[in-house]
Amino acid sequence: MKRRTLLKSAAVSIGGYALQACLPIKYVTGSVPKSFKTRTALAEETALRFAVTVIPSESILDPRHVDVLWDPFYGFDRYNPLFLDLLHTTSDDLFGCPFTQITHAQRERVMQSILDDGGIGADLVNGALVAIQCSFYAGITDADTGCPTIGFYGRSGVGQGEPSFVPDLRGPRAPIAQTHAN
Amino acid sequence: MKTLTTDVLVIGSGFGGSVVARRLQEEGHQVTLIEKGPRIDPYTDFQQTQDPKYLLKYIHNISSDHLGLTYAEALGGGSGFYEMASIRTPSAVFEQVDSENGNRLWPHGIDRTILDPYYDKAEEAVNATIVDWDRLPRSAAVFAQMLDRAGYTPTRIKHAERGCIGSGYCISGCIYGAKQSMLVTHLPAAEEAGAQILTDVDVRYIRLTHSLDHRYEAVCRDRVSQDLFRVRAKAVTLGAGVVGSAAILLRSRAHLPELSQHVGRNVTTNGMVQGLGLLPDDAPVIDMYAGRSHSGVICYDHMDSHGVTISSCNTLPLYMYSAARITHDRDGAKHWGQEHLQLVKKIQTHGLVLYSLGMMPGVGMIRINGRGEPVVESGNDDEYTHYHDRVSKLLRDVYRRMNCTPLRVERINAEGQLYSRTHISTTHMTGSCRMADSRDAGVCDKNGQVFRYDGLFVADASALPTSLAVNPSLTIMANAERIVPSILEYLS
Repeated sequence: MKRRTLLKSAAVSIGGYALQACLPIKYVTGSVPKSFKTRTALAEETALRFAVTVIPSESILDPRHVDVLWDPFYGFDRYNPLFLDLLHTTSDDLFGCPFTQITHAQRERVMQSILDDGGIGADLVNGALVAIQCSFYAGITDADTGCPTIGFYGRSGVGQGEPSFVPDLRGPRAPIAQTHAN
Repeated sequence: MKTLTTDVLVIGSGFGGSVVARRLQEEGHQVTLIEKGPRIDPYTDFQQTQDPKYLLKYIHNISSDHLGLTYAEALGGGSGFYEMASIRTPSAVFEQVDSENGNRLWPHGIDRTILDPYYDKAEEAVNATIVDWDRLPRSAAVFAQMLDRAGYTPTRIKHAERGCIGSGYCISGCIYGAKQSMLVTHLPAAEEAGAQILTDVDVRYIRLTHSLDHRYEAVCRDRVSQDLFRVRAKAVTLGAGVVGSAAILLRSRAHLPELSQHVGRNVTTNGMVQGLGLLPDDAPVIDMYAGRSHSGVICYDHMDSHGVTISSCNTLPLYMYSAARITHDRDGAKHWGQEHLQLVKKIQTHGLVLYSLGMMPGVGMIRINGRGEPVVESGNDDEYTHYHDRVSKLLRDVYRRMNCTPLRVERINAEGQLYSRTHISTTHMTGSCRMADSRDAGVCDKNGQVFRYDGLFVADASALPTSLAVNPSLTIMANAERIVPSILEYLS
């Protein structure tokens, strides 16, 4: 049975602990290819191609922005080999090509296909994309710079925001019972 | 096992414990304050960063299907990380009743007018003031104006600050000392008066001694050395928060068998429900990531109809995108890809966060697991869903009335997965050791003294019996100020 089909059919509920069920799956389906077990060039390229599909911006194509997938602090590192392999397997199923060699539109189709299948595969994709979004948007890799792509300038933006103003409050005022207000 | 002796043991250094520690020490009683988390120097230990590796040193969470409780373990407790909003609880809150028996949830004799003098004292201690508009984030003015145009009444609230520059990193800790947390107010004053503060110490349980004088003994573990030691005290005040105080009392039950069955129960969320919408294109732009996080504006117009208040806040990216899947509110809208990136960009200039706090019943419960650590259970499923749906609809109606476009906000867990059921996450919980008129209804009396255990007091949010519909920080401080005389009377 193809790995992707097995993941699709595995009825694991989404509820916050679904990813932990991936661990036995890794053994049931056999080990993932060696090239995804560590942060090889192929693994990193796959992660970056995924990241730029999630966030279509040149600025995400910095290996630091996918560190989160390998960092044991966040917990996704246990699932990362299976996740990366799933991207390639699905790409191969749909287009006969590795994930790193297809177009942006084709990568979108791969991701959407996995999400539509549901199950553990969708959990893996959702877990990875949230991790990357948070890492990138929050400027975790560079607190000084933040994420200029979305208008968050990190520490360098302190004191630089748009000035405030006195609002033009015209009323009519709804009467506030004295008990409510400060 | 080493034994320390003190007059008063205060457990926890947040809004409640710090107030009690200072006031009692200033009255000449030797206070030992124990804090589970590390000591913090706000000028050197706080960082302006969104890095979870830093934040999770101090911020913790316990979660169940419906309920997530977020709290701090650090000197100063939650005060180091809150948004400085200093708001008095509306009078209507004190008249909430138990839906099962119709009894008033707050002890008789406690209402807003009783607390007002203590609110005065609490505000003075943290310099709670209404600041000028030019020191608020731009979103505050926009929010006030949008409310006004929609026929609602924007009301200003006070901030506990001195010299805030609006960095926007309120929740990661103020590196300037501008936020008037316990770290720059009550705790230094307590130490200056002679209080002893021990950090990185976990109180495992409390038991009675045979001494007539030092009646209580807390068994503690130093989290650094792992050594156990005892602290003997004439009186003990719990200020470890809704999670911490309940956990300590639950672990103490074998030694304090007369504790009420309400320990750990009646946990409220303060009815926290959030929404996000887009301002119309012709509205003044905001700057979501600049300026202090709480806008300083609140709307009380829905207290009578829905039992809720509505405020707005700026939210840094991590807190937004790690907590919820945000999309356009239409079928097929993706939470990734080009359209989503454009939405994320638009949120910076046109995003308006509304957050509502309200009088939601306390149906959560804290218990301890086999390792003696706290876990939370949700209680009544229907209560959460009904409340959340009702208030979410209200927020969407408010957005539309302000000509804003509501976005779809679906909460996600730490692994990026949608919760399968309604999930309310809060930092404003109350109730796990609530005050009541009798032991059948609560854990401590109206003076915070635990039923059947004279000299054991509760001074934090866990003593507050209900949701408050506003930020609870000022009320925790005011209530702590209110019970100090009772502790002094006991000690005398």
